[in-house]
Amino acid sequence: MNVFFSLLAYNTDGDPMPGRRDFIKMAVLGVGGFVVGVGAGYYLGSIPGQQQVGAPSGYNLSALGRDAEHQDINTAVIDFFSRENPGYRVDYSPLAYSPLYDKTVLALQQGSSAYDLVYMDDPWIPQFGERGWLADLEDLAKQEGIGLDLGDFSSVLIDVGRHPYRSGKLVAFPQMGNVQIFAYRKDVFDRLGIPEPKTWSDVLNACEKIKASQLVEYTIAFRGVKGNPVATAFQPILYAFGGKIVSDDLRKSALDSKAVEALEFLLQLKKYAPPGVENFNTPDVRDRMIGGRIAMSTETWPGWIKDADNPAVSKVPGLLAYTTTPGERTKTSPLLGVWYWGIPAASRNKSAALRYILYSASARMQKIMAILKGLPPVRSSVGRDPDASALRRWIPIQVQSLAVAVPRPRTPYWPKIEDIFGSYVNQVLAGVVRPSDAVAKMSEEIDKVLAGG
Amino acid sequence: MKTGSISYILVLPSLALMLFTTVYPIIGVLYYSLYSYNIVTGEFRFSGLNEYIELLRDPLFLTSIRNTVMFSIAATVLQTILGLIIAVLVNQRIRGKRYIIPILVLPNMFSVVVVSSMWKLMLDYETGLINHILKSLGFQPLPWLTSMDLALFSIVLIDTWQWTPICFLIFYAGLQSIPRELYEAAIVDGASSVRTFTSITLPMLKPYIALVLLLRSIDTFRLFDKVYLLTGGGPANSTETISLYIFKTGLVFWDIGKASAASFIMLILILAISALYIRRSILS
Repeated sequence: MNVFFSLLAYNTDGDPMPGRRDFIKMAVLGVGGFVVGVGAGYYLGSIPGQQQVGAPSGYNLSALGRDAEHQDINTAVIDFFSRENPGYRVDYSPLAYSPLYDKTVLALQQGSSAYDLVYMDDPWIPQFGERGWLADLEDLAKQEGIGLDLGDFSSVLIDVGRHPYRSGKLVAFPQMGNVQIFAYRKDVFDRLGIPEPKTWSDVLNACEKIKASQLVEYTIAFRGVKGNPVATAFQPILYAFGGKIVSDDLRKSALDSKAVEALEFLLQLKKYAPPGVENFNTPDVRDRMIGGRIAMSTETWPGWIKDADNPAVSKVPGLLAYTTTPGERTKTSPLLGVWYWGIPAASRNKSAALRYILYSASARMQKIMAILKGLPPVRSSVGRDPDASALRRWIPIQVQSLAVAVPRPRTPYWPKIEDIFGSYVNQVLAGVVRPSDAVAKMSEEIDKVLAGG
Repeated sequence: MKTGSISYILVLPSLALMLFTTVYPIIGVLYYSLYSYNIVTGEFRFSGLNEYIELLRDPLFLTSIRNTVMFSIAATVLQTILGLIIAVLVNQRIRGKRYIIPILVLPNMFSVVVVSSMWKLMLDYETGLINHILKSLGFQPLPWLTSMDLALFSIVLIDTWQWTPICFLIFYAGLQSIPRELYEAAIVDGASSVRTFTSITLPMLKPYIALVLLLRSIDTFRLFDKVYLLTGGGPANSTETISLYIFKTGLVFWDIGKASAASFIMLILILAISALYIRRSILS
């Protein structure tokens, strides 16, 4: 005890302050302690037989998925699955988009067996497939003696689930048929005698007439904030003008004069949009659409309008009409945004995971979820089902759009390319860069990324 | 056992923990900054200072440094001055002080997500409260978060609203520690209130001012959350900060090499800011 108090009273006893040698001794002891600690940590971690926290066993499946409406749908499917398959249990971990991507990459990269099912946005598939992080579902199905029945899916959905695109192994199975459609206020269009827009020029003409009529607060809105939002909102316009971002062989940028024309068209649409559109994100567009404050949007996703006919939520129940995304020089080119289930290559429950995936994507479950939860189905048969479309008027257009949808370029470098593309489109909208200069700079930077830089 | 030896042993666990949580990550970041390392593409090769050179040639990175420095200076100065003014005012003999102080400190009790969501609604061009007040006073509404010229300034204002209370508390504690005899002597000598403030209050508050400047400089330099939630770095990169750049590079594009190099550059800049204060503290 005297020693302890003498330490506390180190200075008051008149002992000298620690000198340089004392600090060096402390530093050496500290480093030594640190090395011992790290070494002990590695040794303890390498002891065999320790089960990782959260690692499932038997028929316990662990799924990593999205939050919000995805969670709503997936947990409902899990509920049905568990009741109809006693002995199976699925633990669902919901995350927002970015955290889900981060966690999925880290889990797959570490070869962790903590998850048996991973829920993926379609642009992630080339990255994960390239690194061999996902199991071959066709191979797995063959081993289990299960038929995959791919005929009820649009070919683009299955092609996107393959790596390499179209020709490779099937590493992801479609679950949620997210695709761009075009929504507009039919009551406004009918009142002004404007036909359903088939081209972007039709959209621009409609903007002029609707603005003059002042029947709605603003004619059109779209996502303009830099990055993925504006990149996604602009792509259907770009493709309709015959433009492309990346060449077919994925080796260089394909942006050209058509992209300049498309950007100039976007600036014309901006004149009819609310002020500050260059900072708009999903809630800004979606809330204005179902709040009755705009007549159209350049893009509409099924998740935005799943409650559009619900008078408790929407101010325009029954007033929205749906069609495929307009064309211009080319036919309609809605952007694909489908969500897929995949099985990590390190999963110890691949067979059970495959059974869950096929159950979730079955025609019966897709129809139930379309009716109960507003799931955009991936199966063509569900798109033709009158029960589903009676409650969700947009389903036939959504499934029709899936058949002609354009996926984002199937390159593992897509996140970086999309960021460059989205940044410059945002700068064009903000009036900082001219369309021609933006296209030139984008091309240069995208070429550098595709060259591995 | 000698007293000295026991003291080293007792300090050892804390020292080891500190080294593990600070020195080890810094060494790790420095190591990866010398490699071209991408988790998703699988690339991992030694590239020396190449990542640093590419960064210093990247217009977006240079823009992020400029934005970060501008934000840090503006927010730090504004918060320091406002915090000092509020502390001096509250330090007077006023009634209800014990109710005023908790209300003043309230903004700092909210999380960043709540603050950002609240201000995003209030600054909305069409439906926001601030523009509604401006319109009712006969002014034009302003594009607070959608204008390249105003977006960064708007974030300065939001950060000032949230963090001035902390500056106020530090200055208030400092004012409370100034001996009253000094003010009494000044009154006896016939000093005016301005002279009293400049000759007694400010000099006595110097260590507190230095502390506030240091803490706010470091904190504002690391700006990420408000920008991520309010503008995403836009419009047109006008609110892109170093932290946001590092986040996107490391956790969206998985370019660990470049993100590590950017992190190390940020560390050097923060150390440079802190060096002045640390040197001053050691000398005093």
